[in-house]
Amino acid sequence: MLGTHINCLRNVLDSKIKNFPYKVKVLIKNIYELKRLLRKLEFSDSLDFLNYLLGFIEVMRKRINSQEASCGLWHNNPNLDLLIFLARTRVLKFTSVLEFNTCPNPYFELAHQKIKNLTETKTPGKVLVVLPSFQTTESFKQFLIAEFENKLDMYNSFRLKSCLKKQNILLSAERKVFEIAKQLDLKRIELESFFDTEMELEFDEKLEPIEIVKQKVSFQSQMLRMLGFDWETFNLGKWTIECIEPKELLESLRKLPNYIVLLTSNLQVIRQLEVHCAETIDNPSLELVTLINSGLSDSFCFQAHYQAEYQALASFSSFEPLQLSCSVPSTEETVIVDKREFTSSLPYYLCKRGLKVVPYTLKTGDYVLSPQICVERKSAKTDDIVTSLLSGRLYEQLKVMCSNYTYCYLLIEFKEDTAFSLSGSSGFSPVPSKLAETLKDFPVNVLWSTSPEQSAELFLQLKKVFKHNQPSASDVKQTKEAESSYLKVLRKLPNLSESSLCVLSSEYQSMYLLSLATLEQLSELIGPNEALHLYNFLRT
Amino acid sequence: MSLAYVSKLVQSLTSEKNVLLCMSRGLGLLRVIETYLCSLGEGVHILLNFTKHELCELETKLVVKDLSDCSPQTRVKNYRKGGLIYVTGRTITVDLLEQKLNPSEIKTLVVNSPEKLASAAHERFVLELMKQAQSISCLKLFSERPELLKSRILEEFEIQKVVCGSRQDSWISEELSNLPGVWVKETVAVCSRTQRINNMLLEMIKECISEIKRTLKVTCS
Repeated sequence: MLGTHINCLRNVLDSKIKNFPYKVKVLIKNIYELKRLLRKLEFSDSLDFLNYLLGFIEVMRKRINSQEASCGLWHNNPNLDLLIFLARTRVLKFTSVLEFNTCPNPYFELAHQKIKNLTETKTPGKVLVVLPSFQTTESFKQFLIAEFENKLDMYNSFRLKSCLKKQNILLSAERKVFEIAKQLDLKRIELESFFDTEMELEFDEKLEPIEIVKQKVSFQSQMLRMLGFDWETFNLGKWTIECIEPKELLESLRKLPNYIVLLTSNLQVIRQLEVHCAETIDNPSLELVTLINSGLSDSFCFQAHYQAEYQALASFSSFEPLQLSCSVPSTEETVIVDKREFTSSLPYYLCKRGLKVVPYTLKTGDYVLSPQICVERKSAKTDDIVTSLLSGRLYEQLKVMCSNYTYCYLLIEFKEDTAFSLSGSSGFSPVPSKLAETLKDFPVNVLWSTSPEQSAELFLQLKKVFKHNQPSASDVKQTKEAESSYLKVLRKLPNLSESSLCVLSSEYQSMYLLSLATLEQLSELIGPNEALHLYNFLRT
Repeated sequence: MSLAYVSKLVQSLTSEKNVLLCMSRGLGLLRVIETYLCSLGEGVHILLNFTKHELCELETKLVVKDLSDCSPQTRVKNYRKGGLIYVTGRTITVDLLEQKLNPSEIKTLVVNSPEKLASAAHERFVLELMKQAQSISCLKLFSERPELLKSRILEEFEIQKVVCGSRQDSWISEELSNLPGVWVKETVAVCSRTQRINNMLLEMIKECISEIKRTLKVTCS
C-alpha cells in the first residue's frame, strides 16, 4: 500500500515541487525525516536508535516555534511521546529494579550468527555481506569488529590493503600500527556503555534530550581509524569477509565469493545475483543466505520498485512508432553564442528554429545577433540575475556591452510556470529596485521570457525587425570586462550607489586621490548625502 | 558464460534507426551495451551520458576513447580515426557546430540512461544537428529505469521502436531460474516494540501523504 502511495506522490511531485504551498514542502521534508528514522530503526541497535531519536527530537524542539514546525508533522504530535517511550523501553528493562538492556540490531545479530556458523561448519572461503547503504555497511563493519575482534587477522587485512593503497604510505602506516599494537593489548574487547541513569529516570520530562555516550569501538578499530584506515576485508584465518553496499556488488561478484549474506531486499541486488548465478552455472558452489523482514521499510521499497517497473514496462507494449520529422533547414541567419552559454538550452532552440549557431568565446554579452545587437542573458531560475545584480557584476557587464554595441538587450529568462517576478516568495526583495537603479544608467532594453523556447522566438523577431547584416567573428567586440582592483575597493565602501561608483572611478584614478577630495568636491559629484557618508568614512 | 537474452536483445536493436532498449534493472544493461558496441563496424560511434564507472566497465572489454578531458586538437585527431568515442554532450555539440566533426560522419549515437537527461539536453541538440546534416546514422538509447522514462523522451528522440527486456518475460526468466547451490531464506524476528515503532512511523508517513493530497486536492486510485 505504501508503494502505491509513493508512486502516486512521485507522479504528483514531479517537477512541481518548487511551486507547492509551504505546508506541502514541509510535509515532504517530514516524509524524508520519517524515512530516515525507519532506516535507522531497521539497521541500528536500540541504544543507537534512542540516541538518534532524542537528537532528532532536540532538533525538532529548536524548530518548534518557527513557521516550519508549526505546520509540519512534528508540531503538537502526541505520537512523539509514545515514540520516545517505546524507544526507551527497548533500552531499559522494567523489573523490580531498572535495568539497562540494550537490544542489538536483529539484522546484524542474525547476520553475525550466520557468518559464525559458516566459519565453524563450512569449508573456508570468501563471505560477501551485502547491506542496504553506505551507512549500514559502516555500522555493520563496526559491529563485526566488536564481535570478531580477537579472531581478526589484522596483519593479513593490512597485507590485502597494500594492493589498494600506495605501497610507501602503507608501509609507514603498517609500522606505526605494529608499534602501537605492541604497546596495547589488542586481544581485549572493550564494550562499554556509559549511561546517565539519573537523567534517564526523568520519564515525565517530555522531549528531554539525553546524551548517551556509547563506546563499543575497540582500541584496534580506533587506532585504525586514527591512521585513516578502514577495514575493507576482514580476515579470519582462511576466511575473508567483505561488507559492501549494493553499488559495489558487480565488482565483488567477480572475486567469486563462496557465501553471500544478503541484508537487503534491493531489487537490483537480487537481479544481479540471479544473473551471476546464471553466468556461473558451471560453478554451483555459491551459498546464499537472505535475511528478510517482511514488516519493515526495505521490503516495502522492494514491492514499490517491482510494481513501478512492471507497470512501466507493460505500458511500452502499446507504444506506437513515431514518425521522423524533418528539421527546419538551416538558414543564413546567424547568431554568435558564447561557449559558456551551452549549459542553457537556448542555443538548441535557436538551432531548431533554423538559425545558424556559431560558438565563440565572448567577453561581452552572451549572444550577438548582428554587428549592432548584443544580448546578455540572465536566468531567474538559477538566481543568476539576483547574484549578478547584487554583486554589481551586471552593472559592469551592461556598461561594457553598451560601449561596444548600438542595440543592447538584457534577457531575463523565467520558468514556464512562474510569474514574471523578482520579488521572491517573502514579498520584499531589493532586486527590482536594484535592477531599476542599474538600468537607468544604460540604454538597455529588457526582454522578459518564460522559457528558452520563447527566448529563441524573441531573437528571431529581433533579427526580423533589424535587418542588419549577419554577425561574424570579426564583429565580436572583445573588450575586457575585468574590473580593476581600484573599482573593487571602491565597491566595498559603504552607501555608494552604482552610478556614484562610476562617477568616482572616472573622476579619481586612485584611492589616494579620492581621499584628498574635499566634501564640496564630493557633493558636487555624488550628492550631499552620499558625499558626507564617504567623506566621514575616509577620515575615520 | 554469456546469456542468450543479451544477444537476443542486441539483435532486435538493428531493425530500426531510432531504438530505445528498456530493461528491468539489474539484468545487465551494461553487458547488452557492450555486446552491441562490439557488433559495430568502422566509423565514428559517439557514446553519451555514461558515468565514469560505467565507462571503466566498458573499457575492460572494449577500446573506448574518452575525449572528455582532451584538447580540441586531440579530439579532432580521434574523430578522424573513428571508433568508440566518449565525449560529454556539451563538447560534442560545440565540436559539431565548430565543424570539428561533420554530423554526417557519426555512424551511431549511443545514449545511456536517457531518463537522466533534462529537456532539450545536449544529446537532443546533437540529434538535431545530425538531422540538419541529413545524416543516416542510428540512435540507440539504453535504459534500465523504465518507470522514469517519460513520453517526452520518446517524442524528443523520435523513437521508432522500443525493445523491452522484462524480468517477467519467459525467455529471460527461464535463463535466470538457476538458483545458487544452497539458498537459505530467513526471516528476521523483531521484537513487538520495534514493530510498534515501525508501524507508528509508517502511519505518520501515510498521514503526511494524506495531508499533502488533501492540500493539493489530489485523488489517488
